[in-house]
Amino acid sequence: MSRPRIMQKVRAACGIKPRVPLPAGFPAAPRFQDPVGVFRRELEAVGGVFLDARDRNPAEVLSQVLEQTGHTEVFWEEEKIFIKHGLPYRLRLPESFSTPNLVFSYHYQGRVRLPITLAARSIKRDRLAAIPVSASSAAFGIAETGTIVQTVGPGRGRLLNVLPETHIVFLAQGDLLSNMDQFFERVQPGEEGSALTLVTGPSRTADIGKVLVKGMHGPKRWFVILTEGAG
Amino acid sequence: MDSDPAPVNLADVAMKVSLFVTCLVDQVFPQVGLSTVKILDRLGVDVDFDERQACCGQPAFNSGHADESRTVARRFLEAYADSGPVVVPSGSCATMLKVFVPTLFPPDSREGRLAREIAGRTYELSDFLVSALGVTRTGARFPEAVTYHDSCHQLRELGIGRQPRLLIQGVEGIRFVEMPNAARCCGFGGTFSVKFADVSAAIGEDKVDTIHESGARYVVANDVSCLMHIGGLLQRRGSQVRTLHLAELLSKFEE
Amino acid sequence: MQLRIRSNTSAVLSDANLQANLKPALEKSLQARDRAVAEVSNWEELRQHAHDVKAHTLSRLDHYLEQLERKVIAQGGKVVWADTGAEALEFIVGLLQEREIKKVAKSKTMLGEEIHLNEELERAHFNPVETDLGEYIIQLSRETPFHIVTPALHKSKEEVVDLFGRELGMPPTDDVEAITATARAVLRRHFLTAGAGITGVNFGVAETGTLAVVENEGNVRLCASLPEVHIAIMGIEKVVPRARDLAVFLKLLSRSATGQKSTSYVNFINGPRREGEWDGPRDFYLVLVDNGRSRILADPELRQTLACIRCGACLNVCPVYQRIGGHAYGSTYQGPIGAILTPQLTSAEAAPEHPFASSLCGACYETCPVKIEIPHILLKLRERVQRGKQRLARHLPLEAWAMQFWAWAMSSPKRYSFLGNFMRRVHPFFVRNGRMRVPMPPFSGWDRYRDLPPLPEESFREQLRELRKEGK
Repeated sequence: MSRPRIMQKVRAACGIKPRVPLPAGFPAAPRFQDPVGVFRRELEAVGGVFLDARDRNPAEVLSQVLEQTGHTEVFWEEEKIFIKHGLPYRLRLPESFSTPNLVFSYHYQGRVRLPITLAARSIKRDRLAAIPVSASSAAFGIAETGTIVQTVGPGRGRLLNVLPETHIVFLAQGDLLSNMDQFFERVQPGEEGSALTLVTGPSRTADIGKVLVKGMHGPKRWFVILTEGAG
Repeated sequence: MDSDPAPVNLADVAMKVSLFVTCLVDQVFPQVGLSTVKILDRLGVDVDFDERQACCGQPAFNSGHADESRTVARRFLEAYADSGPVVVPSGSCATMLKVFVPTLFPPDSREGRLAREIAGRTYELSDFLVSALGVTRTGARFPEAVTYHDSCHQLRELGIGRQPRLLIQGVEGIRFVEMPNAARCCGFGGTFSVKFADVSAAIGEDKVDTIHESGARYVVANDVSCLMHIGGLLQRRGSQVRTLHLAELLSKFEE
Repeated sequence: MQLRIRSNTSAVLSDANLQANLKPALEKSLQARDRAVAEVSNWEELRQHAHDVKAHTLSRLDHYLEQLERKVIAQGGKVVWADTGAEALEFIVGLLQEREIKKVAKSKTMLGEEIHLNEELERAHFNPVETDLGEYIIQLSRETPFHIVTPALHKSKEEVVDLFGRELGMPPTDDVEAITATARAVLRRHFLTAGAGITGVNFGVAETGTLAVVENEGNVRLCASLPEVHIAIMGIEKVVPRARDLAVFLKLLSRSATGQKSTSYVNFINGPRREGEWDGPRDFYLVLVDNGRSRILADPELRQTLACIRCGACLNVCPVYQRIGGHAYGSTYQGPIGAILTPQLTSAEAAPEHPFASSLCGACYETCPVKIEIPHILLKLRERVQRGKQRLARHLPLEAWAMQFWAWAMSSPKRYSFLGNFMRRVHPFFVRNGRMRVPMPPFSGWDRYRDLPPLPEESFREQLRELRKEGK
C-alpha cells in the first residue's frame, strides 16, 4: 500500500533541517466582564435572534417564538433540556403555555428510531427533512463570536439542528464562555461524541452576486434563548 | 561564523556617504541623481560617487537568472567594500542591496559576509534623510497638488512609507493629497512589464485612474522604474498629470 | 502538458462582462477582510504564531500524521493513504462500487478539484453532486472554480438565473432569495438520496483525531451527517498538533477568507456515529493524499508553501488576479498561492509561466495569515524555471543569452558606459513627435501600451563629473 511509501518520503523530508520547536499555546485572551452583552451583540450581528429568558418562563419565550414563526410544532431529541433550562417537564400539558394549542414532540424517540433499514430510509428521511422547527440545548455559548456549541452524543444526533428552516437553541447562562481559548480549556473534541459544531448565525451564502442570503442549506431563522441554567 | 558588524551609527561618523545612483537613473534619468546630490550637499553631507558602479543585479535576479545577477552584484560589493553609508534614491534597488544580494552568496563566504555588512549600511534616500539625519524639511518649495505612489519593494520589503510622506509634507507650499489605494502596485514589476505587458498595463490603468481621482497635478514616487511605467501610461493617455521622483521634488529649492 | 497563462490574458482583459463583475466583487472581499483584521489588536502575533506552528508541524509531519492516524482509527474511522491523485480516486471509486452507491453529495474541496474527483467519478458512471452553491453553479456550467474560496465569483446574478433556468427549469427572477431557495430545494433532494458524502478538511488535529471543516451554508454538516458513508479527503500537510491551535487558525482563516469573525459552521468530526447517537454515517474514511506534497516538504526553502490554509486572501489582494481572474491561470489553484503551488505540485516545466505571473508587489505576503513568503518563493521558482529551460533547450534561450550579455556589459564600467552612450546616440532615430517609440522586441510589449521617456544627452556620471570639475 501507499502508506509506507508516503511515510518514507515524509520521514526523509523531515530529516532535513531545520527542525522547528512547537511554540507554546497562544496566550488566552482575557474574559469579558459582560459576556452576555458581548454574546448578544455578536449573535445579532450575524443575523441570529437573541431572547433573554433569564427572568421569564422559558416556555413562554419558546411559545412566542413559535407563534412569531407561524408554527405550532417543534421537534427535539432529548429530555435533558427540560431540566437544564427550567422548562416544565410535562410539556404536553397545555395549561403551562400562553398558547394552549401548541404541540411539542420528541422527534426520534419512539418514532423514527435509527438504525432504520435501507429501503425505508428515504421515506423516513423525507419526513425528517420536512420538519419545519427544531429545538436543542447548546453545550456552550462563546461570547466573542456569538457562537453556539452543539454536540452529539447518546440520544442526540447531528441532523435535527441543521435540517429545519427554523432552529431554536437553549443556552444556559452558566455555559456561556468568553472566547475560544476558554472553550478549548473545557472541551476536548471527540471526547463526548463523534461530532461537534460551532454554530455562528443562520446558514448563509453570498455565492450569487456577493449578496448575502440566509438559509442556504441549514436554518434560515436562528433563535437563541438564554436561560438561567447553571451549566 | 563571524558575527555581522552592527549597522553604522551615523552620529559617530563624519557625514560622508557613498551614492549608489542606480543604472536607470545614471543612464536615463540623470536629473534624479543630480537632485539627490543637491539635497545631500545642502544638508552638509559629502557625497562620494564611485565610478565603478553599474547595476545592483536586480533585472536578472527578478527574472530567475541568479548566476548573472551574482556576477553583477559581485562588482557592486567590490566597489562598496570600504565605502561609508550607501545612499540609494530607489526603493527597489535599495531592497535588492539590503534584502536579496545577501541571499545570492553562501552565508559563511567572504562575499556573503560583505553583502550583509554593506546591506546594514545601505539606506534608501527618504529613510536616510528622515531616520538617519532626522530631516523632514529639505528647504524645497513647490506650490502644487501632489500625490504619492508607494513603490512595492520600498513599502513591503523595507517598510518605508512614512518617511517619504513626511518629506513631501515638509515641502513648502505643497498640497499633498493621498490617492485611493496608494499602496497598490502600479503593475510595473520589472520584466513582468514586458512578459505580461497587457496585464501590467491594465494594472497600471487602475493606478492612473486613482491618480486622476486624487486631483493631483503631480504623482511622486521613489522609483524611476514605476514612474517610467506610470508616466508612459499617462502620456499615452494624454494626461496632464506629470511624474516626479521624490528627489526631484525635494530639490526644488528656491534659488 | 504545459499550462500557459500569457496566451489567456488578452481574452480575459477584453471580456468587459468579466472585468465588470470581478473588480467590485473582489473589492467587497478585500474590504470585509480589512475590517475584520483591523478589529484584532494582536493580528501580527497571531500570524506569527500560526506560521511557527505550521513550520514546526511540517518539520515533524511524520510524527503528526501517525498520531492523527492512530486517533482516527481509535475512534472507529478508517484511514487510507494515497500517494497520488490517481490512488485516491481508485480507492473512492472502488469503495462506491463495493457499496453500490451511485450518488455522492460533495462539499467544496480544493483537493477534490486538484485530483479531478468529479470528472473521474462521472467517467466511472457515478453521480457526484456539488452542494456548495458556488460549486454547484460551477458544476452545472461545466467550468472549474474561479477562486479557491468563492468558486463562482465571476458569475453575475443574471448568468446564474439563465443557468438555473436552463438546467433546473427555474422561472426567471431577479430575487437572489428565490434563486437560493431553488438551489436549496434541489440540493436537499440530492442530499436525501446520496449514498455517500465527500468533504474536504481544513485542519486535521493530531492530538484528538478531529477533522475540522469550515463552511457557511450547512452543506458540509449535511454531507457528513446524512449519507451512510462519509469520506473526508485531506492533503497530508493539513495537520495541526493540538486542538487549542484551532483557536488561532480559525480566527485567522475566517477573517482572512470572508471577513467573518467565525464562519457560520465549524464542524469538528471525530469519526463515524457512535453507539447511542441518533444519526451520522456508519462508516468514516479519511483519505490522506500526498500527490506531490512530500516532494515540496523535502525542499527546506520552499516547504512553507505547505503552510497555506486556503483562505484566498492573497487572490483578492493580488493586482494580477484582480485583472485576469482565476481561469486564466488554467490551474486548480489560482492567484499568488496558485503561482507557487502549481509548479511545485506538478513541475517547473509543466507550469513555466506561473512564477512569472506576478509583479512581485508583495501584497500577498502582507495579507497571508500564515506569513508565507510568496514573493521570495516566486523568485526561487523563477530561478528553477530558467535553469530547467537552459537544461532542456538545444540552444541557449534568447532571454538567457540576453542576460548573459547584460551581465557581461554590467560587470565592467567601460562596457557599461559604452553601452549607455550607444543607446543615447541611437535613440533619436526612434523619436517621433517628441515621443520615443521602439516597436521591436524586447520593447514591443512595453511600446504597445506605454511611451518611453526620451533619453538625456549625457549620463548622470558625465554630468556629475562636469559639475565637480567646475568645483560645485
